[in-house]
Amino acid sequence: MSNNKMIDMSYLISVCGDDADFKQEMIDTFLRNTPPVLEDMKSSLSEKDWKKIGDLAHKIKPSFTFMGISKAKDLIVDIEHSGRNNTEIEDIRDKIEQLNKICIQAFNELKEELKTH
Amino acid sequence: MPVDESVKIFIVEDDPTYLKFLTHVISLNPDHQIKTFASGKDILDALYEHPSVITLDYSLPDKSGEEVLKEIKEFDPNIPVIIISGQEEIGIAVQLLKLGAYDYIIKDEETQERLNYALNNAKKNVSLVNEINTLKQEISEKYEFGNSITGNSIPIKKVFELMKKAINTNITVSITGETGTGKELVAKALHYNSPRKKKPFIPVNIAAIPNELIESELFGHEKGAFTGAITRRLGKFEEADGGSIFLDEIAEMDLNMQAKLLRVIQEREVTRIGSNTILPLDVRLLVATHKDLAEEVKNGNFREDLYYRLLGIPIHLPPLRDRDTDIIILAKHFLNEFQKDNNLHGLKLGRSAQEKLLKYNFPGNVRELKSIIELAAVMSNSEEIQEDDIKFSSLKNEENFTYQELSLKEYNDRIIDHFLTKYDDNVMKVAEILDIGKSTIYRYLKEKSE
Repeated sequence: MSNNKMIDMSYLISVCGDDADFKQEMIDTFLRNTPPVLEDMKSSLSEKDWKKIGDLAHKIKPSFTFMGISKAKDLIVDIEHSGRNNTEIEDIRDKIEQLNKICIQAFNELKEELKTH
Repeated sequence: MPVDESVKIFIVEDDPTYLKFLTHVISLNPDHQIKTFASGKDILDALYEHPSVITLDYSLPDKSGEEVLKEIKEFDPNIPVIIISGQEEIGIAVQLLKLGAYDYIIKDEETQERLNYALNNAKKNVSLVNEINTLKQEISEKYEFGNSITGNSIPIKKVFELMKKAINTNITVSITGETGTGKELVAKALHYNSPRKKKPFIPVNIAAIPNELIESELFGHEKGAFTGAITRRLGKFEEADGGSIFLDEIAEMDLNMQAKLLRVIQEREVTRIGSNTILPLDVRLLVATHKDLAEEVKNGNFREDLYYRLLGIPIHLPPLRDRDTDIIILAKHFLNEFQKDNNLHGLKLGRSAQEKLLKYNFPGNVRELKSIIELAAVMSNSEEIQEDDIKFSSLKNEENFTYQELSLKEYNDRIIDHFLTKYDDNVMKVAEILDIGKSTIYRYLKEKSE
């Protein structure tokens, strides 16, 4: 896979083995469930509900591992810590915005991935 | 062991992608039946379905993993709960394991392997726990009143009444009765029907342990306490902690040891030989003897203070010969048991055999009856056990003689007959032994031939 791609399917493939259907289902579930969480995160930002932002980041963190979106990993961990300490961390708005951008590209790539099946 | 039978696994996970992954991994084993839950409340509401294993996400929307774990453990401490967490925090992991979590797994690239490993171990654990519970259940059923001790006679009903009074308290019970009357059985029934039934029942036969070893056997010893004490050893009292200890043949204990036992009972604490640590005792004491303890006290063989300490509720087990038709009830019971254990069936106890049993005095009591019945079941050639199949041991047979309610003349004839057989019809010898005239014997022989 080329370096400028946001996603990396190798871990997911190792988990799914020969079960291509299961791989499709995992991607599909991720595509359906992650955008609402990101929306939630944005609205919590305007409410300054740091704890909720942290919880949301914590919740989605493992599924990003399956999709191999490694560029999002550090961002999510930082956002998660904001909630852990229940305070506004530096650049949190910026970080959520970055995460959003990464996700938009990743979602597109994942939709392509679904079609190639 | 049924390790691979169908296993009900509950998965608690609020992230749909991760839930999909866990469901996939766990369903790879076709024996696994899976149910999934997205919140703490949902899983707690479903506990009545008794899952075999639960995997629990640490961060749930409504409750913390710790709270959910506590509630699951309160409901049933035996369900293994595998925590699956997004973060690696040793403090939290240790805390959860202390609360009874079976394992703590991090959501990372090794989750699948670790989960499979933990699940397999948890399943083995569950099947062992189930097996132990089944065995415990079987034991307590075995010793339920009516299953272990059978009978309708007045003396045995009095015993039942006393036993019922004894089971709900911690009072010491002293069981007396001739050999073979079932003293250990009564002790076991008392334990397995008491609130202590889930804790150990430890029987100790004082007569079977050499005097010099009794102290370390009962109270334990530390490593190096005496020559030969190469390891620390727990005493029987410690082993019985929370349960009951049964000291059989208590009258055989020597006076020196009696003093030590008295101290332990009075202080309710025990010290291992060679140790300075005092261990508090929570043990119910059951004792038994075939001797008359009061008589032993009179003769100076048993400490009076210990006697009163041990007396508690005295239960005297009647000898079998005083239990009327219990003999037949028990004989039939043993016959059934024997047939069950040996895959036999259809064998009945004939009327003539029953009458013969009722006339016997059973010096060996219930134990003797059991072996008589087992022997008869083996010897019997027909579907009914006959008089001839019932064979009494000759150990104390002369005592039996008086229980047959014969006339004096009949007794005389039987005695003469017995010795004539024994001494090959040597009239001289028999007359000498019985101190009677030879003519008496000749007269008997003449009558017999007529």
